[in-house]
Amino acid sequence: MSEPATTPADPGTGQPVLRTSGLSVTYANGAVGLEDVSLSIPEGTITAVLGRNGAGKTSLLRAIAGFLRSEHVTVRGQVELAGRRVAAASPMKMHRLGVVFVPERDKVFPGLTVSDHLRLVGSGKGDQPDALSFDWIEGRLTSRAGMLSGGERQMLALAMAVRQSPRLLLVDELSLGLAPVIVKELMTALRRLTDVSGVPIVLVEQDAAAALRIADRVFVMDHGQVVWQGASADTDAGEISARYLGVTR
Amino acid sequence: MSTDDDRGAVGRPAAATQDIALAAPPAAAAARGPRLDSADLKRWLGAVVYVVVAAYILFGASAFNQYQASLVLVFAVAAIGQDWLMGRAGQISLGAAAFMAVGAFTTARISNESWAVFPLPIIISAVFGCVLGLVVGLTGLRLRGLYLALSTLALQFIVAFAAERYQGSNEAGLTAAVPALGGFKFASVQRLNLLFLVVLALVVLGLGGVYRRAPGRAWAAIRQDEAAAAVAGVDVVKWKLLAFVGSSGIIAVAGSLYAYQAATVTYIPFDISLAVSILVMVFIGGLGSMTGAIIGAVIVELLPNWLQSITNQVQGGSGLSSWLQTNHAELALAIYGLALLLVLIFERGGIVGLLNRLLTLTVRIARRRERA
Repeated sequence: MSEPATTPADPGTGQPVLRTSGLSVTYANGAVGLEDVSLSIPEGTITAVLGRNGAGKTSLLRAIAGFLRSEHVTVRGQVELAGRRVAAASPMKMHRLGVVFVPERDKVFPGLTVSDHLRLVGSGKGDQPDALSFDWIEGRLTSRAGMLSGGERQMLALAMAVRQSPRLLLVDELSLGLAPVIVKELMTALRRLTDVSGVPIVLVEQDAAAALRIADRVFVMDHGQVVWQGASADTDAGEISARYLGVTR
Repeated sequence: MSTDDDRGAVGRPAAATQDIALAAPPAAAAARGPRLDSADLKRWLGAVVYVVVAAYILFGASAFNQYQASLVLVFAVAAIGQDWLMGRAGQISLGAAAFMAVGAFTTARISNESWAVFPLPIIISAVFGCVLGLVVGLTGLRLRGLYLALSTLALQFIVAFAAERYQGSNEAGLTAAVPALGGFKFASVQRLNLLFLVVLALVVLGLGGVYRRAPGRAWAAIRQDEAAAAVAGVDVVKWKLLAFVGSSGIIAVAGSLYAYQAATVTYIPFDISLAVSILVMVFIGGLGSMTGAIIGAVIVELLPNWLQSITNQVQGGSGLSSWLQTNHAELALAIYGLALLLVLIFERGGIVGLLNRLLTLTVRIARRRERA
C-alpha cells in the first residue's frame, strides 16, 4: 500500500472480515484503477472510502465483489474473506460467501414490483415484512420499482441487501442525487445495521460529511491509491474535503 | 442460492440480519389483510375461454376450421416456447424454425420405430431440442443483442442445410406414424386437436407455475438488467442457459406436433420466414405473455384466410377485387409488417397490452359510476 499521509489510531481492532493486499486493477485501455491497495475491514465497523471521481473507489468495491475479473479486467493481488483467499472468485461465488454489493446504478428493476424485489433476494422468505427495513415498504409492495422515487429506490436496494444476510456489505455512492434528509435516513439505517448485527460495511462516498457521521474508519483514495486513512473521530471532514476531494471550505 | 458449505468457512455476524429493521418497525406490519389478486381473476377467465374455445374446436367447428385450428395450436406452442426465451429471459433468437425442424424430423424419423411408442417421440424430440438449445445457449452466454440474433440465424441455416441433406432424394419427405395412446388412435384432425389442446394446456399450466415462482422472477430480473440481476445474486449464467434449453425443448415439441399434423415432414416449411412468423406472433400478441403468444398464433395463422374470405366477398370484376383475390397472401404479409410496426411504436405490450389497458379503463369507469 502506498504510504498514507497521516495514520491516526485505527479503531478497527476487531477480527478482520476482509483483507486485501497489493490489490491492483488495470483496465483494458491501460488505465490504472487501483494500485497496490492493502486494507483490512474488521467486523462490526463501517469503513468510509472517500475520494474524487476516478480515484478508484468503485474499482475497489467491484474488485472485491469479483465483478472486475468477470469483465476480463486485470486484477492482481490478494483478497481474503475471513482468512479464505477469494481473489479469483466469481461474483456469484462472492455472493454465496456473503459479500453483498449495492452498486451506484442498476440496483432495482423498474418493471418488477417491490414485492418481486424482496422475493427475488429472499428465497423462501416471501414478501412478509420480517426485514422490511423501511416502514413505507409495507404499503408499497405492489408498486413497480420504476414508480419509486430515487430515495425509495435506494432504500429498496438497501432492504434487498439486508435481506440477503450479508457478511460484508459493499455500498457504492448511496447519497448520489438525494436530498439531505433522505441521505441522513439512509446513513442512519446503515449505522443501525452494523450496530445491531455486526455486519461490516464498506461505504464509498463523495459526501465526506455524511459518511464521516456514521463511519468508524476512513480511507481516502486518489489515483487508485490509498492516500490517507484513520479513525473517523480523528478526521476533519472539511480538511479531507479540501485536501483530497477538491472541495473548498 | 447460498449453501451452508460456502458460508461455513466465514464467521457469522453476531445477530441474524433478517431480524433487523433498519428504521422504525412498521406499525401495521401484522395487520396486512388478503390482497385482491387480479392475476388470479385473469387466470380463471383464461381457463373458461380456453374450455369454451376447445369445445368449439372439438365439437362445433367445420372440417376446414378444425384444420386451421390444428395449425394454430401447433404454432401457439411454438410461440410460447419463443416467448420463454425472448419475453421472459430477454434473449433474442431467430432459431425457432430450426428447433421446430429438429422436433419434426425427430418425430417423423422415430415414430415408425416399434420401440418409440407414443408419446415417446414427443419426449425425445423435446430432449433433442433441449440439447441443441444448450449448445446455442452456451454460445449465447458470450453474445448479446444483434450478435446473439446472428448466431441463432446461423443455426437456422445449419439446421436447414442438415435437414435438406438428411431428406436427400426423398422429395416426398419423411412420414410420421399416426400417434396412438393405447387403442386410441389420433387418426383424424379432430382427435389430433384433442391431443394438441392437451399439450398446449400442459405447457401453459406448467410454464405459468414456473413463471410465478423464483425462476420467473430471476428471468424477469435478467431481462430487465443483467448487471443488476448479478448484483442481486441471481445466477445469470444458470438461468439464461435454462431459458435456452427449456424454450428450445418447447419449440421442438411444437415441431413434433407439426409432424403429426402434417403427417409428412420436409425441410421446406422450416425456413427463415417461419422463424420470423413465430417472432411476429410473439410481438403482436404481446411479449412476455402466454395469452399473447396464443393470440399472436391465431392472428398470424388465420389472417391470410380471413383476407381471402373477405376478398372473395368483394363483388364485381373491378381491378381492385381481382388484385385482392390474387394478392391476399402478400397483403397478409404487409399487414403483419404494419401490425408489428404499430406494436413496436405504440404498444409494446401487443394485443394483450391493449386488452389490459381496456380492462383497466373499464374498471375505472365502473368505479366512477359506483361513486356517482
